[in-house]
Amino acid sequence: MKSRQTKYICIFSIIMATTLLLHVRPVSAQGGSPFDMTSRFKLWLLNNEARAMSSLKADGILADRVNSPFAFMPFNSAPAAMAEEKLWAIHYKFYVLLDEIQAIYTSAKTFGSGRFGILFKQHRPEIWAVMPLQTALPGLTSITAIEYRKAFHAALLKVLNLDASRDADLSTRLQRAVKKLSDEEFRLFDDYLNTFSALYPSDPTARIIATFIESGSKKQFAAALKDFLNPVFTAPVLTDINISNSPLEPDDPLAELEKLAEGAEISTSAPSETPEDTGDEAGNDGQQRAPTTLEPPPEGTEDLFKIWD
Amino acid sequence: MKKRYLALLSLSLVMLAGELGALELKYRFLPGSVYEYEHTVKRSSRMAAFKTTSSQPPVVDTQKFTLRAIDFQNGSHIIDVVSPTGTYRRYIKENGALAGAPGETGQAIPFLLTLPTADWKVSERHQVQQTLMSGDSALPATWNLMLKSVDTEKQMAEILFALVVKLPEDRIRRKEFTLKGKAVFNYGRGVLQQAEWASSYRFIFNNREMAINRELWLFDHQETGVLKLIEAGSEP
Repeated sequence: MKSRQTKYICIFSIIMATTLLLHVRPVSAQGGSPFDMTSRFKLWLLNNEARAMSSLKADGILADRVNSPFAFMPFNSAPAAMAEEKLWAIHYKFYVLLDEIQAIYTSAKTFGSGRFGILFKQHRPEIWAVMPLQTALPGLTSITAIEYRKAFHAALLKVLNLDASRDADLSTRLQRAVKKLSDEEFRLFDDYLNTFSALYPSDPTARIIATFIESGSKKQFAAALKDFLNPVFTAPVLTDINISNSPLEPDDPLAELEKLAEGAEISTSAPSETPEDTGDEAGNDGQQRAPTTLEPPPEGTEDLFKIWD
Repeated sequence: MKKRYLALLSLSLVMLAGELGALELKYRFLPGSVYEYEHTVKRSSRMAAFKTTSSQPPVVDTQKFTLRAIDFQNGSHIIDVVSPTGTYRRYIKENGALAGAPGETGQAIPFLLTLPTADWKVSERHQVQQTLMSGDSALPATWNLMLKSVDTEKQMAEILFALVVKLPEDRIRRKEFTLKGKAVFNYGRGVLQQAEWASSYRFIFNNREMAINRELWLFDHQETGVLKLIEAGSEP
């Protein structure tokens, strides 16, 4: 009787542990939710839009009421398109751009270090996934193994919201997103960012967005993501893979992003930089700046460019 | 003694001249008659956000509507307004005020231009005050009217009118609204012959935080309305 109870406890423990692992694994793979770099600016613009729309509508009703001044007239006049609708259409493009910037940043932060890709290569879950089939139908599985692995990889990318063709080069993806705005629209976007920074000097959101666009469009970053996007069909060589030191090695693909981030952080924390200084640094991408000289990010805000910690 | 009589005579003549110059303007729709009007609305707008500007070219909408005068009861003309959007029954007082609109129950009634019941004199100003609702705010609004000229031969009175209303503002919203117009009233037949008016709305939206103020957007709406009596006659 006692041994039966022990058996039940064992089975229950295994089920609970499996359930727990199933929940914990995706969380550790994602490495926590990334810093939301756009929402405060986006909410500011949305709130301003809402206030303006509310006033325009209330005043429009009033204008309609006085523009039919005689009791024998029909009171309902046909509605007409107003110029502000173009502004709302431009703002919609900004919201799309902001979402894209956030998505690019999230992908870079989550997968750009290459750690997840290395972990994946070490453990090869696509092989484990077909293991039960291997036992049951060894012949069939060996024929279809590559297709299984491809399908597993494709499904994994889909679950992680990645797209091999889209995310291979995040810098190009960022450029594509920015180019959806015309020059005039981008100038307006930039004016909004400057206005936000002027109104809320302690909030770095707009400066971070501007810096991310400026730096990220010029240089490729999170290059480690490219390896992860391609399915692997060869057997893993575990000696070649060392997860512990790869992300911080200088020749790691993410070093590019680190440089980019440092440059961005310098320009964010030192807005009074002279033009001469900027010109000198253009050649070496601001690498000479020691990180210790940078100002820490404001309290309560996550440091945007520390995306591999 | 003779001088006193002359003075009294002069005074009474002056008073009589004043009475003769006074004019009573009121609607007198003839039951059984049909009045056809043409109403043209022209709207344009522009917007500016920093250096980005956008203009909506003038959009003109013209529609005709017909008034069918049915009766005059309890001081109100019973009128059917027949427009492309439908037929609406209106009870219109002689001064142009709306006594009822049973076909438009629940709908906000416009701020109507009513004619003062007093006698009109050239260059004399009249005011009609009402409360206008803008969102949740009640706004005092005034129609200013002035009889500009009278054509006794054609029995036409030219009236200038302007609206004074202060739209609600706060630290991020600045607004201006003006409406001015001119109406030609056929006092012989008791109908409006023609009216033209133009309204202008300007809304500046800015953001202010502490000592920093930034203008974000400017909205400018223009609207003109022209109302013309095309035909008046009996129901065929």
